Amino acid sequence: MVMLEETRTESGRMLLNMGPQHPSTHGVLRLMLELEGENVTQCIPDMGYLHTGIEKMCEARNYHQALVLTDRIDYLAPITNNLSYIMACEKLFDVGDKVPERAQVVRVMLSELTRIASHLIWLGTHALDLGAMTVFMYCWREREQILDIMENISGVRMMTSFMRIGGLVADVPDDFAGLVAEFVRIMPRKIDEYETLLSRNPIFIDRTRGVGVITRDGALEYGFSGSCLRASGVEFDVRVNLPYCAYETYDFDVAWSKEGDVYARYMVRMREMRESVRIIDQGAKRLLVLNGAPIRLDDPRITFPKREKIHSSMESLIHHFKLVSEGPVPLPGEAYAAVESPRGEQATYIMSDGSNKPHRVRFRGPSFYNLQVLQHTIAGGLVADVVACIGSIDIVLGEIDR
Amino acid sequence: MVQQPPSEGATQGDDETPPPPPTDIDLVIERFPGSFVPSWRYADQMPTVRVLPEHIREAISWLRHECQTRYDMLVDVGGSHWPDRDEPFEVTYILHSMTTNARIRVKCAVAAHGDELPVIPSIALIWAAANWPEREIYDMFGVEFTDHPDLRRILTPNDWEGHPLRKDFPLGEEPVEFYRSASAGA
Amino acid sequence: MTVPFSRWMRASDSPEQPGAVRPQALDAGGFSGASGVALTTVDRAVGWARANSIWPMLFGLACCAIEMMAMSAAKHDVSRFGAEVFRSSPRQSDLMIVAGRLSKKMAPVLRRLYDQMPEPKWVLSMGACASCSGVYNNYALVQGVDRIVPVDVYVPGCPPRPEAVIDGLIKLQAKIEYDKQFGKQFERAPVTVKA
Repeated sequence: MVMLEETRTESGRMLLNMGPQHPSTHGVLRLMLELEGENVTQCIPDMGYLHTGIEKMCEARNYHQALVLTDRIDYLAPITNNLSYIMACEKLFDVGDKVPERAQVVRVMLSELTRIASHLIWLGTHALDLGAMTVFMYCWREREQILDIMENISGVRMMTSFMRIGGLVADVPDDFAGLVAEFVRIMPRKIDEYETLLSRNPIFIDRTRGVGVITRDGALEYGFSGSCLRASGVEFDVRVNLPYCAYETYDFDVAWSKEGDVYARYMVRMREMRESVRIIDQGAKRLLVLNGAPIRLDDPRITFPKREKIHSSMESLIHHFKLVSEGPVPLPGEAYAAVESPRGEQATYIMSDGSNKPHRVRFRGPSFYNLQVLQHTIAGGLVADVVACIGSIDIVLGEIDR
Repeated sequence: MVQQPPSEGATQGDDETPPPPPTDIDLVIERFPGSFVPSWRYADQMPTVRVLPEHIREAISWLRHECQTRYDMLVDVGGSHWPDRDEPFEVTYILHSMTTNARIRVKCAVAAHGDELPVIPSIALIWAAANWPEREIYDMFGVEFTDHPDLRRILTPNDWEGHPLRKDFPLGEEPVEFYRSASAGA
Repeated sequence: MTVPFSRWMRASDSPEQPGAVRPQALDAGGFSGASGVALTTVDRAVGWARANSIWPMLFGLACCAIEMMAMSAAKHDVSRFGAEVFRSSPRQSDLMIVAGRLSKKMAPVLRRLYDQMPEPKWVLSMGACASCSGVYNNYALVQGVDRIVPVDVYVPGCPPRPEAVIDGLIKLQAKIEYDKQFGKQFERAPVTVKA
């Protein structure tokens, strides 16, 4: 750990260490601030306090095993991590366009549920940083409902690992539709409730409007993506511009704004939650029609044989054993797959050398790029705006440090 | 599977059928000598070109500012290590165009001589988004970027030795103790 | 001064295992709630007070921190167990919940935070990563926080449910309550919570 040797510079400015243990840095981010009174004159971020070596770890696991590691990169949105990894694998195995429709619909619905769950955490903690405790409790109330749905389908609240190469690990249970319908019914009114607490709250507006402005050019210069980019006036959404999982067939709007300040990012994410509810509703209707349709590709190179076959046929048993012990083997090549995670463009870049383990797996974390601009945004601002800026960029240290 | 070198298509333009307009890949190959399309399977169908390290900064700058498709967003910069190749350290840049939604992948590979770090010109001065990713590649692969404004380790501790994502760096697994007898007191 | 009877029951129900803290017999100093007269030793009273007013440190590392937030939020409401006062400063807290994976870069910081906490202090290792680095057995992570700080309760799970963490907290409360409060070093025998 680099320590700040001095507490004052020669010109009398104060050096302040913020983090890695600080309630408002949303994890273990460390900022070294140089202050002149209340004003921040310089900010140097320091990351790596959560460096987990996931990319190295993936190189030592086969394609099925590495999936479990991807859940924990961006731990607020495990489903979208899974999805980008799985999509890259599917491209590598040349089955990207053969995934059954029911699996695609469930993938979209789970992605959007995850987006709402992640935005609820962002909203709760962001409001908490700015002094509003109630929103935090309200947000967790609805998040628990989403986690119950996740638990219902997979048995785990957060790290579901529900995707598989070529589809899903299992079909969704029968009561999934009812739980989702209940969630879709209540959620728009709950979002109204959050907005009544914050959108016209004078304290909140004073602390967010005109704070941490990022222009369109700045956003493109620093590789922004996701809600932050859209709040800066660039209408870019991976779901629309580079559609995957048949997102182009869903009817939804891309929320965007011109202002580029903290309040704009808040408004964009609130609208995004409403759009996500719409997508989930459409997905639920499609799922009804596709009842009983296959949820996984039947490709002997990749997917496991059916359980009944394993019990009755020797070949299937050997096949299953080979797939479990050795794993699927792709041709040498590279594939890059991007999805729109709650924070932006989350992508996986897999390079294969033709063995059963990936040669290199790179995860493009949107927070990693989004955070770069922070030091330029908060330099020149007030100390109190630092937490507002960090909160509004919505960083997850897990995917920054990986 | 293996992409054909499109340089043939770029130069043979005088046949009876009107030639297709040159793609950005062709223009890069024409403009920067030594660039070529690697014979490698790109399963995501993204156009890929490999540029010599001394041209990488001009190539990225050209693609961003002057190319017919303005690639105005730097999506990703990542490294990889292929110990069996002649130029084992590879840096991949992925660019995106907001107007046409096109993407292009630019690759750049260098060899390491002896114990020295391989060197690639940095693009952080012309595109600020590349700052931290290049630091990460420096940290993880030991690729040195010349003219980088702030080339320090980013993820590992400052006194860390080695570059974790190189293939000769061990994973560092420790054997798992599944059972320890309470009476053994070990 | 009344004490929930379930507290005594739960403590004496704790499973027999090596290292588990055994409660002392009730007649060594207990409350007789029926007559309205309290008879106890100072040691026991202090233990009771400490156990029911744990101030955890607001210190999240990774995924488990989200479930730790869930534990303190609306549905699971840890204030029912007197441990809702999350303090951001180590100097005001007496329980460190290590929630998440501990990288080698973070390890000196964690130890420093632990050293800044005033005695008596306890450590709850939350999740597989904190207990043994979980699925990440590699160069970057400390293979278990018990190599850095002494751990009182291990809660497995990836991440553990909020209920599991609350269970771990209750186990820790039993341990605190029956610890000898004065005149000796605090015991650091670990307690494991079943998943």
